[in-house]
Amino acid sequence: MTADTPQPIPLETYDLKEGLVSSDLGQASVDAFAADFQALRHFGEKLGNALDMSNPWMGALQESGYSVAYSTPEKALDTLPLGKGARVGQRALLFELLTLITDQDPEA
Amino acid sequence: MPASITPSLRSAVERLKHGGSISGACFGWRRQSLLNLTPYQDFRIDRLLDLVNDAREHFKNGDREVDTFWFGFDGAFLLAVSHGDCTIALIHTRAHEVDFLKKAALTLLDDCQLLIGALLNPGEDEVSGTDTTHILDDNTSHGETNLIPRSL
Repeated sequence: MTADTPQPIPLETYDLKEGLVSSDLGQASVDAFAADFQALRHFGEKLGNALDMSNPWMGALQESGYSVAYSTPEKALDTLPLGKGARVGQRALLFELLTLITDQDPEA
Repeated sequence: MPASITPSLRSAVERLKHGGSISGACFGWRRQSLLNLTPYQDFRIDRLLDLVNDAREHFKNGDREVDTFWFGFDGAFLLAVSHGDCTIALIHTRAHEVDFLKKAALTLLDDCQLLIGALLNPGEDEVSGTDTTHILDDNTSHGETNLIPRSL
């Protein structure tokens, strides 16, 4: 592994509160998650519109060696999102990731 | 090309649609919808595929190859899995099935690469001696694949 190789990211969790992303992790980590969260939220809303559905209450993306997810307990992202998010430097199981950031049963 | 591969894909995507709690499935090649097995009209599925491709390009601008998007709506989940130029979008209702559905969709998309490769590079198989042709000829399929014409 060279110095240029990105280090694997352990599971990092974030709080979504009053439209802000917060975490005990560093600013770079928060910024990286916030960028993915905004993109997921943006495209999720558009996809919801396309299918005549409400805004998504959760979203996730995966690429090789990286997974990001967010969820909002009130199952809506109308104005100020409130919920949790996570990212991990591996191709994690999506349902497991959702369970980790969802206080209540996602099936409910 | 889309018209050529649609008959071969239909039965495979239909089988996938019957797995788990899927209530709708669609298949796209680049930004073109090839199969719409959802309750939605074609223009909505075209828009969906456009948006999935837009999202992938958004991340591609940052040198990231995102292949899976998953969103939860009230009462339904949307899973979009891409491989190369192809995308499968599934609407399902049980969250815990997502990883199984993603794996199944990826396997189907993997198989499609052979089909599309054979169509884009006809004759290559004969040269290499490999047997990767999965195209059903309309004249020889004897109606084994039900092609339902779509109105554009």
